[in-house]
Order: sequence, then structure tokens, then C-alpha cells
Amino acid sequence: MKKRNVLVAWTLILFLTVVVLEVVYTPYDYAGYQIANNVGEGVAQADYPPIQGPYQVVYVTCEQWQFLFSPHVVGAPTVTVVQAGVPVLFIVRSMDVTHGFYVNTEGNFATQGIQFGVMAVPGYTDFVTWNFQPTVFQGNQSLYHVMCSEYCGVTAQGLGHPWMDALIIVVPHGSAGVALQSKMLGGNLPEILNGSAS
Amino acid sequence: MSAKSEPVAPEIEEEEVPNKAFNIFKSIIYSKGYKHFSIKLVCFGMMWLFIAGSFGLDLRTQSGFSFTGNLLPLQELGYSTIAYFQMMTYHAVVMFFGTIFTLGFSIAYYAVPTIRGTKKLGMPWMANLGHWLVVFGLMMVIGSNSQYMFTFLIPLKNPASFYVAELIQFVGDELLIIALIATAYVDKLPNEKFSIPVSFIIMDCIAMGIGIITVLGAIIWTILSPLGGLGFDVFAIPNVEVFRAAFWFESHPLVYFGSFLVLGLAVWMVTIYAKRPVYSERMVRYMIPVLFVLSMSVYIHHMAVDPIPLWIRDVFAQVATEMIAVPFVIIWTILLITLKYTKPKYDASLLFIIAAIAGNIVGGATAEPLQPIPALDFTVHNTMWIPAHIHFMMATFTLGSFFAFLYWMIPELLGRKLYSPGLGIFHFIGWSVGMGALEVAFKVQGIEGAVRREIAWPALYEPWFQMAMIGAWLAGISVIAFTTNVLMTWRMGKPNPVSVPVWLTAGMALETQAKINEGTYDPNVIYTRVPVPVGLKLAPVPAATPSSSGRGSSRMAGVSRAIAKMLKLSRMRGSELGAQAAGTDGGKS
Ligand SMILES: [Cu+2]
Ligand SMILES: [Cu+2]
Repeated sequence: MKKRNVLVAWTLILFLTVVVLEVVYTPYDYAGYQIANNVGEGVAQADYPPIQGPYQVVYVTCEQWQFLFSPHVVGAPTVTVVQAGVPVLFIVRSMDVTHGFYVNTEGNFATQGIQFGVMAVPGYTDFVTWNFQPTVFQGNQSLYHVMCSEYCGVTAQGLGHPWMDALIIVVPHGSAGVALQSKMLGGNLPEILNGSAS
Repeated sequence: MSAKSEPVAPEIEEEEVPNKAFNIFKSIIYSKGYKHFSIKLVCFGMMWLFIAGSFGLDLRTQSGFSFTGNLLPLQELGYSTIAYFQMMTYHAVVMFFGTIFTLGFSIAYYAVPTIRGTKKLGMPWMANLGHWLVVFGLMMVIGSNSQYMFTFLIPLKNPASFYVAELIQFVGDELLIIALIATAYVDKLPNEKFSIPVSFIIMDCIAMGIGIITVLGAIIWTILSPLGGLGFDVFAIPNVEVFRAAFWFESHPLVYFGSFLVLGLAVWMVTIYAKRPVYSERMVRYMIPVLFVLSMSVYIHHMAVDPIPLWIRDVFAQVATEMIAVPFVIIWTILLITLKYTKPKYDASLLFIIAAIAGNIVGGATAEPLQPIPALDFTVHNTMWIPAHIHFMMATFTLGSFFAFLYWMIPELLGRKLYSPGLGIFHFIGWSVGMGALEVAFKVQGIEGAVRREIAWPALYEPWFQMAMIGAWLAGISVIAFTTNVLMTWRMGKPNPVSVPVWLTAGMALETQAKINEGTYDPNVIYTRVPVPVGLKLAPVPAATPSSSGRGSSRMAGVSRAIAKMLKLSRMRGSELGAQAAGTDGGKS
């Protein structure tokens, strides 16, 4: 084979790989809710994720140095309760500087840990969706640790970015779970919207 | 020392001060010759490497010893959390703008005048001023008490001195870039064109020069807003995303800056090791504008939360980011084909080049899917996955390829043979294995969800922090071995004055041969003033070309014995070729 043909062929292969990657992954681009655990991240002004079916809406306000949920557990604005099996749309805002809303079970492959997150940028409303699966239940509820993943300053030991965290409690889908959720949230349940209706 | 060594006006009564110490001081401040300037930059680059490296070792040691949230063992000594985050900022800023920039400039400021045979700086005063501004700016950064990584995290407020320090440092870098472009164009002959290494350097300088303008604008904007802390209220506090766009438009060329400075030289080095012309000289040249365009457009993948139309993000963020792998892969393919079936001498330089290629492939491949696949990006964004990527690209790839050339350049500058090639191999192993261990540990942590820039973490991540600590110390020890080798070369190396380095004649001859093979050779064009054999084969060599200086590159065509000798990779004696060299030695100023 002539050298020129080799190079042209190699360039074309690389180029085609890029195109194929782009085409194959396009369904995942900013796609929002996927059937299984999946999700999207993005800017609310641009587009909400095309969620089909019902989803729960939880608002997250970030500020130095805490996450404030709405709705939240009575007396504890940094704790919220959501149902498993119904996708959660977290609508994330920042009051001051850039933060990262990062949810993490600190697991590894073996323990099926999950992590996902989205940035909270002042002046913008960002979203991330997640469908908490019932499979990871221990007992009747499971806990998800929220931490700030974008460095946002430290003033003193114990006050600052490393200590900015929150908690998501996931309860089972169904009437028992909803009763538990309602009790913890003081009857103030997350709004349930229907994606196809909007 | 450096903080007070602002450039002094060179015209202060030179003759009336017969003070030797003063003259030495003056020559340190103001380098006239390109070799002197390059040696100065090497010294400062190594100084920055030690300063920033000690910050990094501090961080790794802290994390290697604790997962409790207490920064053992130094907290007992009053070491604070804030100091920990400050060290992280300084590690990054000083490594980028100190180590990578200064060592890269030292290579480029040596390579360009050497290759072109002009043997002089284009705008020496501007180069010297730029260098001292960078030194002053970085010293000021370290003294600024800033705890935030760079400026793009606005509206986090940095101390005013940090913004001013960055302004000074970027002005200095811009001056160094302009002076380097001037060095590449000084005394340009009408029929002179640029060889591959010089072309890469010029392309790189144009990209970085344009990029720095935007970050300078963003910094000035910040200083003139209430955020700057200097009492100005000319502008409102910049919008976060606009600021981020300005920052990344500079910072994406920035992460390629170091590597592009030596990429052309690496191509030459591989051809010299392989003892054959590069597989396709034309293709390598095509990749130069491709890399320029792509490295300037991929920055949009950092605009993750911009409400810009999705198709623009698709084009710039996703396609451009995937596409930039293509020119890199093509260049690596060409280099590996060039090396194929040859029996090169595996010294530290070649090993560093091969490791750099591997580091670029692994680092690039693990970063590519992030933006195109948010499903992955939102999982590892801001985790240790990202520091792993940056260490692959900056430590293994960029700094590794610097080391490869420094092993050729430093002994030449010192006029001696490298003291211990064996210590060079040890340096290679320590650096590659050490940084490799750190990078792998970071990658695993990232996949497991360890957020970066943290002081406390679950015990799950601790073994990986220990692995990263051991790797970091191994890399640090290897750098000490390198420094020892350089110092021993300086004091005890066998004298080996080089007037025309063999890599220049060999690299130029092999590049010319590639052109002859590909039918693109033009005898009327010259690439260097130094007489080099036209090519390897003496096939269709045209008659000697009268260039404007009367010393065409084809003058030595037919000196086949010289070619055979030069390809043995032994440094050519100054008397052998130096006598034939066109220029005078400008380094002895
Ligand atoms: Cu935060
Ligand atoms: Cu990037």
C-alpha cells in the first residue's frame, strides 16, 4: 500500500470513529431521564430534561456553606426525603459563589456505590435528575450523602467547603413510604409533576 | 532574591564600574545571548519545580497519613486547613506558570536560534523583562495569601494582591511569547522557511498569545470591579460564565502550550533515534494548523452550564473535543511507524518520549468521553478523576517530553558530556513509575466518587491516597537525581564543547530527506544558516543554491561521511563542524 493511501485511510478511520461516537452517544446528550438510573445535567434555561411519566421536584439552594432543600425535613433544612422509583428532578441554584451539588454513597464497584452531581453557578438554574433505585435499600430507607464538589472557600477549621454537606433520605415507593415521607416532611411533599402532560 | 531583582536599566555607566560582582549581577539580570538566557530559564524552571513540587509533596503526605479530617501530621504544628488549600493553589499555579512555562521557554529560546542558525534573541530586553515579571508575579502569588485555585471561581474573592500578581505574571508571559516570535523571525531571509520544530513553536506562541489577551481582559475587569479589592468600581462584578469563557479561552491553549513547544523537537528526536526520515513530513506539517484550530476551540467544553444553543455545544464542545484526538493520534502513529523495526539506543531521552506518548494517549482517552457523555461527566466531574487527567497530561506527557530534550540540551549548554546516563535512566523510572502510580490512584478514586480538593474522606479512599503519596515521593526523588546529574555534569562532566549540535544537523538532514522522498523538496528554500547535508540519500541533489547570504543549505551536499558519523549520536566536536558553521557562537556573551 502506498504511504499516502495508508495515511488517508488512517485519517478517515479516526474521523469516522469520531462521527460514530458522536452519533451513538447523541441520545445521551443532555437527554435527561433515562429508563434505569440515568439522567441528565444541564441548564434550566436551555431545556428541562424530557422526562416521561411522573417525577418529583426538589429545589436545592446552595450557599456558603450549606445546602438548603425544599421541601425539607421538619427542623432540618439540609435533609430531604424522596421516594425510590420516581425520578427526582433536582433544581439547583446558588446564592453566592459556584458550588457543586454532588451526591455520593462512597461506594465502589463491588458495593454498587453511586455518584452524580451538577454545578451550582450563581445567576443560573441548573438541574440534574436521578431515579433512586429500590434495589439499594438497607431496611426501609437509604441515605445518600451530599457534598460540595466545587471549592468554595474556608474561613476556619470546621467552617467552609469541606464541611458543606447534606443528606437525602430515600424511602420506598408506595403508601408506606409516602406515609414515612409525609411524616418526616411535615406533610409538605415534593411536587409530583407529569412529564408527558407538560 | 528575585522579588527585588527587578530589571535595572542596562545603561547605568557600564565602564565606570570595574566591579566584577556587579558585572556578574548585571549579566544575571540581563541576558544578551540566547544560551545565557536559556540557562537562566532552566535554573528558574528547576527552582519552580522544586517549590511547586514541595507543595505537592506536602499535600500528598498529608493525605497519605490521614482520613480523619485532621491534617496529620502537621496540624500539631499549627498547620491549618486554609494553608492546605493554599498549597493546592500554589502547586497548580507555580507548576503551570513557573515550571512548565519557564522550562518550555528555556527549550524554545535555545532551539529556535540554534535551528535557524541566527544564534541570537529577537528582542532581548523584552524577553528579559518578561522573565523577571513572571518571577516577580509568581513570588507575589505565593505571598498573596490566596486560597482559591486561580481566578475563574469568581465571585469568590481573592486578595487584591493575587489579582495584581496574576496581571504582572501574564504580562510577563505575553512579553516572553512576543520576544520568542521575534526570535523566530529575526533576520529572516526572503527564501527562509521554518523547520518542523520552529513551526510548532510559532503556532503555539500565536495560540497562547491570543489566549492570554482574554484572560488579561478578565483579570483587568475583575480588578476594576468591586471584587478586585482595590477600591475601583468601574465595572460590575463579571458574570461567572463570561469570566469562565475568558478564562478557558486562555487556559485551553495553555494546557497544550508546553507540549506544543517540544512536539516538533520530539518529531526530530524520534527520527534521529530511528535513523530514518519521519514517515510523513507533509502529514506532520498538516497537523500544525489542525492542532491550532482545535486547541483554540475545545475550550467550550468547560462552559458546562451556559444556556447556549445545544447545536453550538455539539459542534464546539463535543465534536471539537473528540476531534483533537485525531491530530495527536496521527502524529503518534507517524512517530511509531518511524521507529518501527529500528534498533534505537534506549537512553533516558527516548524512554521519556515513549512514556510521554503513552501518557498523552491514556490521559487523553480518559478525558475524551467526559463532555460528550454527560452520563459519565456528571459522575466524575470534580472528582479525583480530573487531577488524574491533568497529571497524565502535564507531568507524564508535557514535563516528560521536556526532560527528554533537556537531556540533550543541558549538556550542550554546559559544554560537557552528561555526567551519568545511568542516573538519567533512574530519573526516568522514578518519574514515570511515581507519577504513574499517583495518576492511577487518582483515577480509581475518581471512579469511586472521591471529590477533589478535600481534607477528609472515608477510609475507602485511603489506600489510594497512600499509593499516590508513595508515587509522589518517588517522582520527587527522581527529580533530585536529575538535578544532581545536571550539577555533576556542570562541575565534573567531561568537556565537550558543541558548536553545532548533532541533533540539528541530523534532524535537518532527516527532515530534508523526508521532503526529497515525498517530492516536496525545494532547493531554493533554506531552513537554517548552519550548513547541513541536504539529505541522507544523495539522489537528486540540485546544484548549490545561492541564497541571499551565500550559504545555502545544500552547500554540504555530498558529505556522506559526515552523515554516517553524525548518525552515531555522538556529539560532534566543535572543531570538526564548528569551523564550518556559518554563525559565530552567540552564547559566550
Ligand atoms: Cu460549596
Ligand atoms: Cu478542557
